[in-house]
Amino acid sequence: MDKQIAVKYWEERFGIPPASFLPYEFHSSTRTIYIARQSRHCRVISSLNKDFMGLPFLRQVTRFLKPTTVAAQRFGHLAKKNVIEIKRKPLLSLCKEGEIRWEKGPTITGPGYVILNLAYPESHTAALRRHFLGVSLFLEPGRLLCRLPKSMAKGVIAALERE
Amino acid sequence: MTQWPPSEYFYFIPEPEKYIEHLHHPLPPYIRINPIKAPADKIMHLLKDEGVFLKKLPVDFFYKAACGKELGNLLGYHLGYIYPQALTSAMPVIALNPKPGDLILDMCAAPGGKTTHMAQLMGDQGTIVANDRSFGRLTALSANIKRCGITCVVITQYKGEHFPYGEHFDKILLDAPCSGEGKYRIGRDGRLLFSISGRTNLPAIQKGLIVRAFDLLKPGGTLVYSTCTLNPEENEGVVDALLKKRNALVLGWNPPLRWHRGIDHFKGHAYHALVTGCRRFYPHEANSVGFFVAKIVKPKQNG
Repeated sequence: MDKQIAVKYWEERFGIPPASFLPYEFHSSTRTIYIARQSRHCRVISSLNKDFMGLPFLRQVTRFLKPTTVAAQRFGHLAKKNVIEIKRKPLLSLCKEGEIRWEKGPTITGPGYVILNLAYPESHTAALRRHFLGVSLFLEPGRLLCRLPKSMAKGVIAALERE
Repeated sequence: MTQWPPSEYFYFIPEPEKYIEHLHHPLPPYIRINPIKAPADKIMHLLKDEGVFLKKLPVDFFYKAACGKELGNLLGYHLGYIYPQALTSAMPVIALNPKPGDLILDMCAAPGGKTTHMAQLMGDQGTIVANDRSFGRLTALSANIKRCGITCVVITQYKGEHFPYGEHFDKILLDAPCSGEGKYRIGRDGRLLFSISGRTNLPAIQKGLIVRAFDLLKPGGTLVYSTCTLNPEENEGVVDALLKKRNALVLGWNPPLRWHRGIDHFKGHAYHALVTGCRRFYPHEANSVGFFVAKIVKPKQNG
């Protein structure tokens, strides 16, 4: 995997212009592309044995590409398509059951990963209630599969359950 | 009953009776908000809606938090909007004064509170090399960096005292392993909580680390040495050892919390006059963990 593949994926699936990623550089391991802030020091630190650098951005899962949770949280606000606004109740069901029914709607272009945008609390203005949680997998006809890390899903349940 | 603090500490702890009384109360929770993940007003609204009451503090981005549940169970925590962190632990970072574009080494970085704070002050621009020798602690460090959405950090796993020479850094933070006396509390049963027992010679380790850190600095660069202990042998004693071995300067600075100067002697040892430029923060005055911070500069013409 390389930078072109990563940037092209985010452009095609989420409508994020490649120019948004100009201040960054990309590094890949076997199955993960990392995004790191470009810096004049990159050459300086090249001699160090690095455990990792930057933020996981995209992973190869079998033969598909999957955006990472942290990348969806960090760059989700730039996405123009395949973002779904999900309310508290269906999100709780998604996190507990792992899958819920979901109408395709105009923002979803087809099967694949969608960015979860929690509308919380629902009464707030759009700017204040948009919280980018991570990604889910949308499949035809009308299936939404939770792809949040287990710890995150458990955390969301604990945070949003009021009882 | 616990014999704490030791009698030789009484001369430098301000109002020691107040310190002893303070030890019986739990420290309040503090958070730092993380605008890398979302605008501050959005974070504040979410926390308010989650039932968190926040009190503004004289340290940028830090708040005293009161809420009915663990901070780690808040949605804001899982989204990386907040980092629960002792108020005084901001002091080493403020002393280092990280700026966008800096090349910084965080020599003992895990679990990442100061690393992520520095990245935030740098606007996630520049490079922070976050190093820690312990694999287990690196897991927590990388999890916190990811949770906070930071892209300017490189993680390495060297023993601090063996961190390779090569390029030199603009700024280095050495938040050294220490006995943690600044965290001590006394439980309801009169026992000392959070105390660490062992035979490790911490001052020897700290002296090895501070010399290496100083040698990794660019001429004109800044090193901040900090601990969360009250013990002068791990604080002024370590800075004194560096001043004897290298041409280093200790700079005074004005912290936003109540502070005291470094002490000039302990147990019959007189320290270098410059160590009084160090800053001490006491738990009963800051209502947080006790800290020691030394801001050290490598002169441009280093002999």
